Amino acid sequence: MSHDAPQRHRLPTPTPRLRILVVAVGVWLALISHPPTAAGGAGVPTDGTEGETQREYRLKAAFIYRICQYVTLPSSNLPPGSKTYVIGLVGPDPYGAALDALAGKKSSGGRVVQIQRFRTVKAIRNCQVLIASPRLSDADLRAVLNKARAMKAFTISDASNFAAKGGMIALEIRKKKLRFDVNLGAAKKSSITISARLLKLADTVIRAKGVH
Amino acid sequence: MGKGSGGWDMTMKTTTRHGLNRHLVGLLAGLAIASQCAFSQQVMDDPTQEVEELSELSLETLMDIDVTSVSKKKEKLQDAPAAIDVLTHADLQKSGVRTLPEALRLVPGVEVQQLDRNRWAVSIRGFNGAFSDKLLVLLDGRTLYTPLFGGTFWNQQIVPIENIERIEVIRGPGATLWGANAVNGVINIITMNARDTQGGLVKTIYGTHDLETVLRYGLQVGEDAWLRVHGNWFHRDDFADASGNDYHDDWNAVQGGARLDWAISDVDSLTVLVDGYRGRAEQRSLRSSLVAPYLAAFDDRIRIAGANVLARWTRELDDDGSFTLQAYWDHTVRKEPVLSHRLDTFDIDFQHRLKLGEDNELIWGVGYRLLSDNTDGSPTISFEPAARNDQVFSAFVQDDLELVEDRLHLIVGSKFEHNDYSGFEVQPGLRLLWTPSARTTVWGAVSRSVKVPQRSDQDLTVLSGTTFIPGGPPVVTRISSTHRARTEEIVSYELGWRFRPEDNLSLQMSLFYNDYEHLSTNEVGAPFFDPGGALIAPVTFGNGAKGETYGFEVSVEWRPFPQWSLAASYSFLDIALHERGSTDPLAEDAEGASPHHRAQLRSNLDIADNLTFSTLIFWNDSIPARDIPSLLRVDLNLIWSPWEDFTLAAGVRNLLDDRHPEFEDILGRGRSEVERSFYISAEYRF
Repeated sequence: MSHDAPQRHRLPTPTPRLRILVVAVGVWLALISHPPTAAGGAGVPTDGTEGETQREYRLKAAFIYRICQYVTLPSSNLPPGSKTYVIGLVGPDPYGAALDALAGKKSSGGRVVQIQRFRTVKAIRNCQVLIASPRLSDADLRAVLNKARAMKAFTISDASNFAAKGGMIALEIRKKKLRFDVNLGAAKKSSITISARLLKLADTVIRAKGVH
Repeated sequence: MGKGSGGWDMTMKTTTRHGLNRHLVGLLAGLAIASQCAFSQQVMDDPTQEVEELSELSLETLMDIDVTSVSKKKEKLQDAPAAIDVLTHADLQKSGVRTLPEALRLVPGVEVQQLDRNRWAVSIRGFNGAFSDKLLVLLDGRTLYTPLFGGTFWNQQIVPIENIERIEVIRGPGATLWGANAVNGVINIITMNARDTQGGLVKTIYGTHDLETVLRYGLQVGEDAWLRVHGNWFHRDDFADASGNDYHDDWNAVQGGARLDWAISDVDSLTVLVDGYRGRAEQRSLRSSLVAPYLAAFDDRIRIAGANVLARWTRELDDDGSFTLQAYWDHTVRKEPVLSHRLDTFDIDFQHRLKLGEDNELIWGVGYRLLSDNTDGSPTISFEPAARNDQVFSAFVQDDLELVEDRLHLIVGSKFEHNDYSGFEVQPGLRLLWTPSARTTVWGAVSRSVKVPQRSDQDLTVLSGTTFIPGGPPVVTRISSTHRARTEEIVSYELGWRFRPEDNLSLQMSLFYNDYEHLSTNEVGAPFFDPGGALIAPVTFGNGAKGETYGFEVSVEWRPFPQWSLAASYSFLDIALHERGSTDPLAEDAEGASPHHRAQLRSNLDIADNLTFSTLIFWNDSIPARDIPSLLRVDLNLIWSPWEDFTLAAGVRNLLDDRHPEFEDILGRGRSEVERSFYISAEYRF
């Protein structure tokens, strides 16, 4: 029943618990010695820029999960009886825990999302969705796309000009908002259907069959 | 049915206005401490929870979020200018609850007291009872309260908990948007989109008091269309009376339904819901009569059945607006030995949201409802006229004006309604929302709402009780609501504060003061003899009471570790009623019918990847007017998924005692006590 919030971490060791306890006692003592003067909203916790990057990838992870619900994979990649929906990430990982948070959620077909990470192109195993790291070289990216086409996996990435390079959906940040472009030709080549609803939301849809 | 009449003791007023001042000071101090505390702590990030929440949002919403300040817009709740709480699907699944009232018990500030195995008294901010009538309950946009008395027959509301996406509860008046009867609160139950319930589910529950099976299957029926069908059967076994004997209050039902969600085009979406059920509930009843023996107890069997269809079409417009057109038909049948009721409701609503400018959003809507019912009464209880067609015309408008960008909103609006009982009603509201930071929200509201008379307030005749006086004739109370009952009016003042110091910690507080006018009372007339030998005490409904309620609710949600989440809440309520020329001995009864103090703690601990332990602790103060002592209740659940698609659960409800009473029916039917119960369940998804 806990499908909604699966956790992959073990229980923390007593040390951090103890630390929190000490912090709590400290806070309590501080409060007693310095009676509060204002009632709420006296300031805003600051968000550093590293926090921004983390946030951006949390948003991207959630967005990828949502986008996948509008993408239909061919049965050669996703047989009707299969129970898992593997989202793989290839290359250096900027997502971290944000991507793991998707594990255990349900795909639109009711399958359970699994997260896999492939350090190299060679390590890529069969998966339904392949996220390319933005830090892959162009040569690696080409190899990744070839491999994805062979197994008819759906490709998505925030690597620059990903759609133009032959990826199916390219994530972009434009005016501080998340936007995306679709390469419909690339999707069709892998017998992948992308919902009209998604196409409507895209900034650019590349319909030509031009795949580099 | 307003308040019944019988021989209950009057309750003393226990709290004075000074109490309010004291609580206010306490509240402000707590507020200050909490905010300081939050700033002193280290930032604790919880990416899992944040992604979890973000991935529930639509693509459009996600594309609207500024990547540099995700947490600001992700939570619409944070910006709501009302005391609102939401129970999520995960909350419900981990709690092991099987019925809607039991689910509502998890929401801070909601009064849920179980009367017997299939009846509950549910209310918010006072006036609780089996026939509490100041709450609006909606399931997927369909109104659940019965126009017979304005309350909800909870044993006729059957939804598999597995299908519920969330339950939103607004404490306080929601009349401006929702309309009449949303006086003390609105409960909005929303089932899952068919797209999110693809594949199959088989669940079976076996317990000392529950046998239940849920079957569900979801499939894609088009490029952008998803369908779900489900069936549900249950038997809930009897509770016992104080001496441990069966109370004869079991409950059986079979229910089935379907939901279609179809994205017709890029901007249009259609939802169609179909639902049907049939069942039986046993209830003990105490019936008065004008012939000997004048009063007798019966174990009644109540037949319930119903079917409904709802369709909702939503279109997203350019410039950020949208409109929704919704229509439904609902057919319910309820057959009690002394009264049968058939009701057909036809309802159509239109709602339009539009931007009038950068900082001005307007929502308006119109609605029409036709209620057509037919009653078949008995000498005990009857309605005159037996059949009736009533119409309700309504319109509302609400404007959200951003006075200071990102900081200050003024929300002003009103509902206008015309009904066949009280005519034209206006329910305006004014709300101010201040967001001094992305993590702090302060709001205040003044609203007027009404509880319009229902069928029972104007058409009812009922023999509601018999008193035996030694040496004298039996006195039978007969309520005849021939008098045209007036609308009850409520003016509410609310103040709220919401604060999320960390991603894993949030606090909410709300403070309220409600001023009630023309509260319903039972006016006793001069007694006279009936040919059958009884003395009849004639009672008509009046509006001879007024009163004030005030109180506050505090809740905290904290996730100290990704594996452990805690939710705690406390609520305080005081009711002061004053009869105004009323002869009703129970005019001030509601003062003692709700506990002053109520608290709860919920803990969900993920012991391992596939093992969750949940603890629910409920506490409430005594209920003097119903002779109910204070109550401490503990429920435990253990949920284990040995394989990905297979989940086992076991639990105990009411761990601490063999049985306890939670409430007493004002009609004096005796009382059923909530027993300790155990269950195991197995769930398979494919």
